Amino acid sequence: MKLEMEQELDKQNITLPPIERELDKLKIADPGTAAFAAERLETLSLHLTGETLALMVHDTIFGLTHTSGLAKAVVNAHLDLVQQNAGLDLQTRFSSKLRQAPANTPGEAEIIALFFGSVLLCRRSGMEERFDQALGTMKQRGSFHSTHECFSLVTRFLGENDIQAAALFLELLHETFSAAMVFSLHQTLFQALPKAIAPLPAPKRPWLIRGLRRMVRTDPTAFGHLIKGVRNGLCFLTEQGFDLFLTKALETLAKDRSRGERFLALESRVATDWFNEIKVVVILDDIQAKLQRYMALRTGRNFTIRPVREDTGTICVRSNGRELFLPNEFDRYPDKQSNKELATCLTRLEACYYEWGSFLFDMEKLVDLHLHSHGASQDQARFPEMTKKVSDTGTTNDMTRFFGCFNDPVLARNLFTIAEHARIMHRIRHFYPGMVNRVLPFLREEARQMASVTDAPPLPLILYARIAMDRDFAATLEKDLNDHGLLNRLDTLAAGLVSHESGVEASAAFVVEAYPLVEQHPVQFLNFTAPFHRNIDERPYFKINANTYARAKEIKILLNKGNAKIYTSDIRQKLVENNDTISLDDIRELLLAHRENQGMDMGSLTAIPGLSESLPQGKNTLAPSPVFGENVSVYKEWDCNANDYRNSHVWVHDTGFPECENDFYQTTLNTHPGLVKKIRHTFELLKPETVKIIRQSLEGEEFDYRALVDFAVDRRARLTPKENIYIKRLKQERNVAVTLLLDQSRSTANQVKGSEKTVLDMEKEAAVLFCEALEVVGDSFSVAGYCGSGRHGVRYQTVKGFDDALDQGVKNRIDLITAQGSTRTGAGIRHAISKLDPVAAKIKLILLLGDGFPNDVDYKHTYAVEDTRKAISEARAKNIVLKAITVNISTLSGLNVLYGEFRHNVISDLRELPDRLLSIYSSLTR
Amino acid sequence: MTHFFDTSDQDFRIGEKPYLLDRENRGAIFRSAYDARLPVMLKGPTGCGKSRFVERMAFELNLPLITISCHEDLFASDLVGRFLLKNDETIWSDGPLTRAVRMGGICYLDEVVEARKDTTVVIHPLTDNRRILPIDKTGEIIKAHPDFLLVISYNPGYQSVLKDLKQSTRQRFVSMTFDYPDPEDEATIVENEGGIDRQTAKKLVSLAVKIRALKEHGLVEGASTRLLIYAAALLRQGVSPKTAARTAIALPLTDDDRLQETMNDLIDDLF
Repeated sequence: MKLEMEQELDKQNITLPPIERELDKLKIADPGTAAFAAERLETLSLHLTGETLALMVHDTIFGLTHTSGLAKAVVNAHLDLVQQNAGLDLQTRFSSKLRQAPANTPGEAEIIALFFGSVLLCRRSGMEERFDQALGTMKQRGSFHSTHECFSLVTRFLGENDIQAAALFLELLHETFSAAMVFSLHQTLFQALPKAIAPLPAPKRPWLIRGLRRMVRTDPTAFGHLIKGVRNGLCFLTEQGFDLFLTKALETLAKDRSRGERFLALESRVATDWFNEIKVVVILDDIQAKLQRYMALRTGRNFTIRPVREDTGTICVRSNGRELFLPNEFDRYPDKQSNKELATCLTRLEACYYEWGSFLFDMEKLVDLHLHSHGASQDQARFPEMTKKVSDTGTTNDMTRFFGCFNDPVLARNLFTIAEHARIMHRIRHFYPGMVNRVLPFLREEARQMASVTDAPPLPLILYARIAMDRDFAATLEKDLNDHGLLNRLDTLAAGLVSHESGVEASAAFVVEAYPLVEQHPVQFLNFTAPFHRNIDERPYFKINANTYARAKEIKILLNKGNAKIYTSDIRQKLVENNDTISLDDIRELLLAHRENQGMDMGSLTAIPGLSESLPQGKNTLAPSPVFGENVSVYKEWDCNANDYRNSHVWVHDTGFPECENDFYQTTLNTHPGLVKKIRHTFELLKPETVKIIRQSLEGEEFDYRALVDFAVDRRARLTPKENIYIKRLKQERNVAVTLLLDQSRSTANQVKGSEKTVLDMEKEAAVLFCEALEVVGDSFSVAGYCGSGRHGVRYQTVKGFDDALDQGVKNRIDLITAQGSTRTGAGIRHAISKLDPVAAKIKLILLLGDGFPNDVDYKHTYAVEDTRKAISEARAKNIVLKAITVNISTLSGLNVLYGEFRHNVISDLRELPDRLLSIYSSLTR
Repeated sequence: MTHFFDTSDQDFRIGEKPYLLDRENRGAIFRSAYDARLPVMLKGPTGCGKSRFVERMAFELNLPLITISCHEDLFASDLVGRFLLKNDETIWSDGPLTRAVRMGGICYLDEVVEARKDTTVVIHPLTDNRRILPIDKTGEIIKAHPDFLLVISYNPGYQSVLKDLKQSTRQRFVSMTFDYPDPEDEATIVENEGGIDRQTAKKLVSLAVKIRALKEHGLVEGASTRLLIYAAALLRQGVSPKTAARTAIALPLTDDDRLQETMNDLIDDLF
């Protein structure tokens, strides 16, 4: 049929030019496909030879005999081949492969049309065979869809030029699907394989695929567990580490199936221990908290540590004053310690910008301190642009304005990076000598690596090494440098300007002087990259801190109008130090630092129009105030995205309960008679004697008469009497105050497995027994429930306050706690802290009883967890210990993050709650 | 009445001039309070120089100084005195407070909130215009020596409100607040007291200043000047700077491993 159709077409088009003739053939076969082909040809503006086109049309018509989809795929494949200059030979091979596809399996032809082209294009021997083998085995076992998914992954790898991974994956496919196994297992693997392999990071693909292949060979049924393990972190191992892990896992699997499976999936304790031992990659998540604390220590500010957005394959670090961006994985070195050290050192270097005010650059200071030394008139001639821009009242920040003064801001910025890093290195040597030997090896290695990719090390890098690293190392780079003239001049210039005492303006002064020198050879300097891509870029910083800059500028302009001399950067520094607020006293202090203001009347500051109003007095001052008379407390909340508190953000309504009689308390006691007895006994033992009398003491308020008599007798007998003749009274107190905080959110209305009671019922029973026990031991305690509905609707219901007696009213109230609202834990804790803080007790405790993670309106996931953590650390700072008891939950790891590893207990069987609550309490306060 | 001890006020005089960097005109305020015989309360975090200030004042005013470090087990009798046996008779022995009241001078109750609450009540009649000390056990009422001055100190940073002073006690004192000195001043203190060079002193201070910022991260109290002086003393003994900073500053502050790690990182940077 095919031949007849083609012959017919040939007859009709005999008079047309070759290209039109070929397309017309296609038009007759299917106008739609012909239009598609013509459009593609036009879009790609490809010029096909007659032979190529004929082949394409020939194959497309073949495709049309199956489906129009296949025809289009054929058009695309041919055009791709032409576009990549595959040549007629490859096209012919494609064509013959396509036509070999059996007529009764259109899917196979489509797979070939879609993916075989990329295999041909990689031009590696053996790839075609691998493709054939894989397709040969898969078409017998799998569906079109699953095969399509697998081959599209191969194409993706080839597109990324990861030919090794593509080859290995094809081998894995062939091996997996040619192995004898039950049908269902094949189907599972069909789905699992591409899903497991697609997310693997490129450099690790080859050995991870080899590992998976080893697994399929040894024990295909446990394959899914290994994939789970890879997802759980095995991909963070090195090749050797992964091999070791797999060997150990397979051994375990051979001995004990279920243990082995958990081992593979990285779910058993042994496996995670072993994994941690052989893991050399450092994951940012693991060191995030440590780096965050370090930044806080050095800069006095809270930085959020985040992974760099794009994976450039190189290690780079950036920051913007609020966030520090680092690679997600550190795997440069074969040992964990070095990788960790690299991450810490990069953080160390980045902290320097903020500790030593790199971004507090001030144009006016630059002109005053450095440029004026040339004389003002000369100055105007030399730096007309700069002098003009100093008095610019616009909102563009000083740094961007400064770089804008040069013909090529990029060149200026690169020079600034070199000088500023030199200044920072001077300061490190001076203030943190211990840091020098830690950061330099990394910087040297990186610079060496950067130098090695070029024939001769670039001049800016040598300059950088000389002035911002160490001279000995720079000398090793200088060997191939022919002309040292410019290098020496720049070096001398930097030495004259930049020292450990100079401010950031000195680095800018270097740029001013050095720019005309390097302008003759700009290319090298334009392409300069600092080690670890640490080129200074002020734009992200000022994007985040635009408000602070604008405020400072506004204040400065007002003060200048009042004839006062002040630098914007000084105001900015105060704002940064004081959490975006500044007072008149601060301004006075800043003004007094200038000689020009010596005679100024500081009292007149308030008279400067608009000044007092423009002083920012903290954030959210416009938040609505709660209705007067209500029992409402206002609290801040930690916003992990802004890395700052939202002041006066949450309202907590401290509500009471209606009066109501019930016998819940007594009923609970009656249902647990054994437990009550046990509790009374245990807590009786905890109860101290009020006063401990120590007899025969060497000192005390009273005589111990028995000892006194002995004393007298000894004396009479002319023996040396013992002097321990006093009674000492020691008052022993259990000085504990505790708040039992119950999560009463709606989720606690869920029924407990294997019981008719709800979580809240259990919580309430526990509260009853808790009251009973604490009454015995005599500790001061309160019981309260909390729930939330948005930030203005947090409710805190006090069942028993610290000063309340455990009377019938309190007992009645326990039953009145109902499940309602959601869980805004941070606010609940903060209110509990405010109540517990003034209580006089040595040990203060909050026992938080809940059924899961915090969750409320605009209070979810990380935000909620981080705020709760912050509230807990606020409690800790007030010497209040918080212990969480979570019920009805299976995950442990999340809770570790939320409360800290030793600060929570999970009770899986809720029926144990009353008993466990008390044992936890007694061990906490013993 | 026989007295067990017979101490001369010379035993309580400060022989050598204690080092003090007087800040915020505190010396003058103290002298004025002394002139008016007003009891003084010094507030401030631990190790910021309260006790040293009192020593220096005692020296400058040429007064004996009796220091009583208060603790949980401090009874009124520990302050006032008690009967003891001597030979065949029971004799009365003055407590340190009584001794100071009799001979004149500064009685300094250090960390007074640590003492039991009822103990602090015995100082009440001494701190108002009566200036007397009644002794129940002997029935004696001692009129305070004209040179007697009571000074107490406490650390409001102790979050335990149990250890807060009662209003009735608080409102009998003029009060002075102490805090960690400015970095420059603190460096001078560490340099002088610790006997080390200024450069190292500055480094120790910069470490302390930064550690004080860690309070938000769970540290109960920041590194005190006293700890810095200890570190300096260790340095002078030839201990390496890192070890000195670690043992004298980081380790005493907290048991939290994570905070220790962070502090150690900074110590490694500094030295």
